[in-house]
Amino acid sequence: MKLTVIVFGIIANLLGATAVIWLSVLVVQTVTAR
Amino acid sequence: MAPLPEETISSRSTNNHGVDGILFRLTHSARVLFGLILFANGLNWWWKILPYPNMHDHANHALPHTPPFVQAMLNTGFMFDFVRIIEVTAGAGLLMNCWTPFLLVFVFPLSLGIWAVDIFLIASSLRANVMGWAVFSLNGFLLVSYLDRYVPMLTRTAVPGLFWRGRKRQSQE
Repeated sequence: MKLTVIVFGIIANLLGATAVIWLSVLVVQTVTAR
Repeated sequence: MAPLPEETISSRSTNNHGVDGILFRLTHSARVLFGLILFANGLNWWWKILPYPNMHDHANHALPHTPPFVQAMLNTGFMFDFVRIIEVTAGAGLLMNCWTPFLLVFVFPLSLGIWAVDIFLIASSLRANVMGWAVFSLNGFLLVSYLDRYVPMLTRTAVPGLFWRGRKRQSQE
């Protein structure tokens, strides 16, 4: 049970970190393109 | 199932060794990541920082690459305001760790909507897929992490709680 939650957490965190990095790139692109 | 006393829940969060410690750190980082995603997406509605629909865009013309469902929500003139207010509030609350268990439940229908739009309506975009799955899995994982807080709600039948009597009533029973 604990292992399943940890694996779920690792996947969620990896996806979340990718999304946040992607969002930061988009923010930089959008702000500099003004 | 009887609700867990507050001391039991609090003492669990202070035991940060081994597997529990890993879960604690994963929960902490997931909360911050989820808060950042919600806050940035919500803030974009008033202050253009992302290439997504903004309140200043839709007033004049339909944006390209916007799914008809999202465009219909934009055209109502109020639905996206509600969505973005919820996103900013929930994002700020999660970042500050205020009312986290409540905000996770409150924002879950929104996460489900974001996931459905990103996966089914903007399916061709890798970015939309990553964002959709990230929001859905972060919210799902955080709900599992804070499951202790929701156990009192999971009763089959319940009597009204007469909250104005405070905790005195609970102690009498």
